[in-house]
Parts: sequence; structure tokens; C-alpha cells
Amino acid sequence: MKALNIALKDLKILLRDKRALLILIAMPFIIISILGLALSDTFSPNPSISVFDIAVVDHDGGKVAKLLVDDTLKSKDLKKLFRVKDMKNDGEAKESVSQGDLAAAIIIPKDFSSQLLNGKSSSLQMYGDPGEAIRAGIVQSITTSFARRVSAVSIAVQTPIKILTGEGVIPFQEVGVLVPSLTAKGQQIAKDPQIKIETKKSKAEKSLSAIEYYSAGMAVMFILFGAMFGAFSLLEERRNLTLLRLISTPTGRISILSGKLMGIFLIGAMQFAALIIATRVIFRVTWGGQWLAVAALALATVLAATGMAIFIASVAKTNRSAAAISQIMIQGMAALGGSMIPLMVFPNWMKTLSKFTINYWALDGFTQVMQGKDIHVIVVPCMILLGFACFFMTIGVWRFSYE
Amino acid sequence: MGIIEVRELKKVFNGNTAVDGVSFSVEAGEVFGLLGPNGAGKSTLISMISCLLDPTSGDALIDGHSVIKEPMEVKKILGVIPQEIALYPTLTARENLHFWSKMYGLSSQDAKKRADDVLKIAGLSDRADEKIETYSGGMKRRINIAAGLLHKPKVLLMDEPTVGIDPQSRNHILETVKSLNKSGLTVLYTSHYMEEVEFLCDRIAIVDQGKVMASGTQEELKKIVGQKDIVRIKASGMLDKAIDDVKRVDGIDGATVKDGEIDILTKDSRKVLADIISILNQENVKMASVEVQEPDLEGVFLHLTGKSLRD
Repeated sequence: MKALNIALKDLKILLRDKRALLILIAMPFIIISILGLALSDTFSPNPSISVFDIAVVDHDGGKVAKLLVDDTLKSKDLKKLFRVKDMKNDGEAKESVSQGDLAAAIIIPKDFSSQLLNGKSSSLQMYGDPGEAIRAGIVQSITTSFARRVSAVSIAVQTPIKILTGEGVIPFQEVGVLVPSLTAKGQQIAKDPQIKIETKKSKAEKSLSAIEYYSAGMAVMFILFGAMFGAFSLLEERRNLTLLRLISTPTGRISILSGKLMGIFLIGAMQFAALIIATRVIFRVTWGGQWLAVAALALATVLAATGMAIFIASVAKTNRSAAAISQIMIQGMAALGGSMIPLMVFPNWMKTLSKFTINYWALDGFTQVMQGKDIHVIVVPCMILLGFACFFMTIGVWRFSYE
Repeated sequence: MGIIEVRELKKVFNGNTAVDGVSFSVEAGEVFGLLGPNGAGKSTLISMISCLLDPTSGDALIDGHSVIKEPMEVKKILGVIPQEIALYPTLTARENLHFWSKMYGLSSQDAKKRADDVLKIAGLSDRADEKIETYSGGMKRRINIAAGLLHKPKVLLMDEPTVGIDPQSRNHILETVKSLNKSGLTVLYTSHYMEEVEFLCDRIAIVDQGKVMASGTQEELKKIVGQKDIVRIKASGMLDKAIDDVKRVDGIDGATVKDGEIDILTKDSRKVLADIISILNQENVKMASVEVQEPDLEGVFLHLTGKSLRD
């Protein structure tokens, strides 16, 4: 009961500390908004790369060129990706790419179509903007794919023509008639199958949006800031001599320390609840909808942070040194653990290091729950977070000095 | 047996002996003073008696309960007023007192009532709902004291409760202690201010360098000095040099200088006064006043230690 009184007293003190409330509640919310909105495209399952411009300089105008330009590049499907500008001049097209006005330019040489239809090879030139690697890469992929199909069709078309004229079955002057029909068949082959971007998804899993990811990422990071304030509270209690006064009352040291830790835990739990509610209401973040799982993960994370608080208070002598130690631990864990940059972009060796952070395991649990996986996915993260709590608390309680 | 029995209490920190085998007894209902300069070991002694520090050796009994073996029982009957303000600045006085009441095991209802009672004693009922950080130093001290009275202790330990406060607040505190004592509260009061101890205390122990040099009533302590006089001179100038010369005068038993005041202990002030004034004149010391007094506690301390209480 005395421990609870100590915890409630600390909660009351914190709720009057405007600076602390700003850092613990307002700041994460602001950062979630900024990161979530700024990086929304990066996380989108159907990345909406905004429509860009390319140029085509067609020196040929023949059937194959028209197949490429009109039927492929200007097709209804690819209009969702880019707009095609017809240019007359190579230099103008190259210049536009260099200036960044175009993502790519395709130069179709003279005699392109006839070369191909006569079984000879030809080449397309493509200029891409290095600063638009993704967009230029898309155009290159489409063009390369077209070129492969044309090559296959060209061989398929030439062979029967050669056979037919060689046999003298069809007079040569009639090839021009035959070729179109065969070419029409070639067009059909070239068009089908279309280039498609397929996203394969499992039935039970959904991709996370940036807002969802950073809601979890920033919530976890700022819970650790709560640990920093918890350490300050312990050190202030010692500095103000209220800790000694507490000891002079008939209140055991275990009750006193339990009360302080309970206060830190309560504050962290309230902080997490506030962030979950705020993101739910304003950003419509569902947190996966499995509230028991979310609650268990949140509480395990807060426990780990509470352990961190007593650990920091046990190694720091002043608030200043506590702040320095806290910053190193919090920023380090946040950066390495995926709170700032999604883990998916990390190289494998860094992903291994990430596992030594509270953030990694908390985010691992939250992201899986948010993706709609079964509740059992939280077991390992919760166990490890509790392990962190035990580790930090053991050292912290052992080392903590009351004077 | 007294309500406080201190038996050969000793505390050693890293080879330094802060309290060196101190023993004394305090009767129920008494105000007992520990008088000594800063660093004498008074606070260390109070910390051991209040179970905040483990003694290196020795023990203390509070109403028969050992501070070593029964600390929780001791804490229930002991009220501790620390030297520094130990309150939560962003909580109001009432909130602070309510919280400390709960730490002493009072129910919510009793805590509320006691908080009101001690606020009256402190004379701060009308400012109870203001945050401690808005209080003056004197007001903070009064709430600091009030917090030690919440559980109606049998014994109050007060460690220099008037340091750094205005005279009005100091007087209020001294009157409060007197009043509490009249209602039966035993008080162990430490200070380096002779006037406070003379005003409050029934018996006094003079403490220096971790030892009790002497103890007894004021009259008993003054008798230690014997039939000596204190020549007290308020002066300005090269006092430190002058005092060295004064000490060499025959019949001078001790001399100290502090804050423009020279105290000289002598068996017969009539015989030495002329020599003293001559020396001071030679050293170009400007004298503002010269008094010859009966020995007070300052004089007793000077006699026992050769130092000033205010060192």
C-alpha cells in the first residue's frame, strides 16, 4: 500500500511537469505524424510512384517501332506510370534527360523495323537520369522485355517466310502481304503476356503503412525516454533528501524502491495507452485489432524500460550524467532497433546486432500483430523483453545507493 | 533508563572517525541539546539514532527499542527533522503532509486530519494549498518540521532546524519547540547556535571532533569553566595577529576571534584588561565595545576546546 502511495505521488508530480509531458506525449505524436506522412510511399504495398515523363525519338516509323511506341509505351496500362513525349531530335531528348525534365529517352534508329523484319539485329538507345534510377529502370525493363519478345517473334516470322519463298510456293512480292499477317500474329505474341507487376501476398498478412510502423517505432522509443525521467525521479529523490526522509519513516527500503519502480511503470503504461489511443483516433492506426496482444507487448516493453530506469539511476550520480547515459542508450537502441529506420533496409550483420535492443523485440511483436498474425507471435518478444527487465532491474537494485 | 539511551556509539568512514564512542542519556519530556561547531559529528550521531546510518559499533535505545535490532519500532516513535528541506517542491504543503502521513502508516482520514493539525502548529493553514516551491525559506522549514510531527512521535530529533532562515521564522520555530515540549514531547536538538540551546535545552552535551566533551545543565557546564570571566571585544583590524599576542599574556586561558568578535577567557579580567587593550592598540585594532561577562556556553566551549563554536 505504501509502495502504491509512492507511485501515485510520482504520477502526480509528473503530471505537473509540463516539460516532461511534452517530451513523453506530444513529441512522439509529432514525430509519428512527420515520419508517417513523409515515408508513406516507401511503405505502400502498391508504391504509387508519381507519373513521370519519358521521350521517344522515332527515326524509323516502321511497324516494329509503332509496336513499341504506340502499342507498348503508350498503352493504357503504362499510362499509369509515365507519359510519352514524341521528340524529333536526339540531342533535345538527351538534354531533357540531363536537365532532369525526363526520366528517360528512347531513340529508335532509322531502319529499325525493317532490320528486324529482315532477320537482322538492331538496337535501341536509351538515356536514363541517374537521379531517377527507379523510374529509368522501369523504362529499361519494359524496353528490354519488348526487345526480347521482338527478337523471338522476328525469328519466328522470318523462318516461315524464307521457307515459303525458298520453296517458291509464294511469290516474293506477296511476302509483303504475308508478313503483315504474320507480323500481326507477332504483335499478338509481343503484346501477350503484358508486363505485369505482381505483388504476392499471403492471405493473412497485410503490409504496414508508414504511419502504422512509426506509431509502434516511436511509441517504443519514447517509452525509453520515460525510463530517463524515471531515473531522474530516483536521483531527485536522493538529491532532495526525500529518499532519506522516506527511510526515516517506518517504510522498508523494499517498499520504497518498489513504489518508485511502480510509479515509473504506471507512467510508462499511461504514456503507451495515450499514444495508442491518439494514433487510433487521429491516424486510424488499428494496431492489429488484437488488443490483448498489444497490451501484453506494451506492458512488457514498459517493464523493460522500468528496469532501464533503475539501472541508469544506479550508475549515474547526477541528473546530468543520467541524461548523458540515457541519451546514449535510448538513441543507440532506437537507431539499431528499428525505431528510426525500418529494419528491412539493414544489412544482415546489423540485423543481428539489433536483437540486442529493446526496440527490436518490441517492434518485432507489434509489427507482426499489426500484420494480422496469430497472437502466439508475441510470446518470444514478450519473454525477451521480460528478460531485459530482469537484467536491468537486478543490476539496478543491487547497485542503487540511497545516499 | 532514559527515553533515549546512547551507548558508546561509534562511526568510522574510510578510516576517519566521525563519532567516537559517544554515550548520553535523555529523560522523557526533556529538551536535550547537542552543541558543537560544524563537523563536530552531530549530524552523524543523529543519523545513527534515527536508523539512517548503521553504527560501526555501539547502540542506541529509543524507549527501549534498539536502533540496530528494531529499527521499524524506533521509526514509529521517532520524528526526524532533517537539516535540509526534504519536501516535494511541486506538491502543495497539504499534499506533502498527506503523503508523509501515509508513509507513517496513517489512514487517509487520519492523514487529512493530522495534516490540518500540523499546519496549524506551523502557522501555515492559510497557505496549505500552495506549492512548496513558492514558499520562503522559513516557511519551508516550518513545513519541514510539521512533517516530522504527523505521527505524534514520542521523541523528536531536530538537526539544526534554523540554519539559514530569517529571525522571525527562527523565533517561530523555537517557540514551537518549546510549546511541543510543554505537551510532553522529548526533543533531541542539535545546533551550533549557543542562544538557541540556552533558550530551549534543559541539558546540553558539548560535542567536538566526534566526542562529548562535557554534558549537563547550563549551570553545571558553566561551573566547568570555574570562576572565570569572558572578555568580549567587538573590533576591526588585524585581529588574527593581535590575538596571537593576546594569548601570550599571563592569566589568559584562551582567546578566539570570529566575525569581528574577540572572546578572551581569563581567571581575572581586572588583571589582564589593561594588557589586552594595550596590545590591541599597538596592533591598530579599532575597538567598538568591550564587555566582561560571566562565562556562557561559548566560553565553556572555548575552555574545553580552545576554539570558537562558530568555527
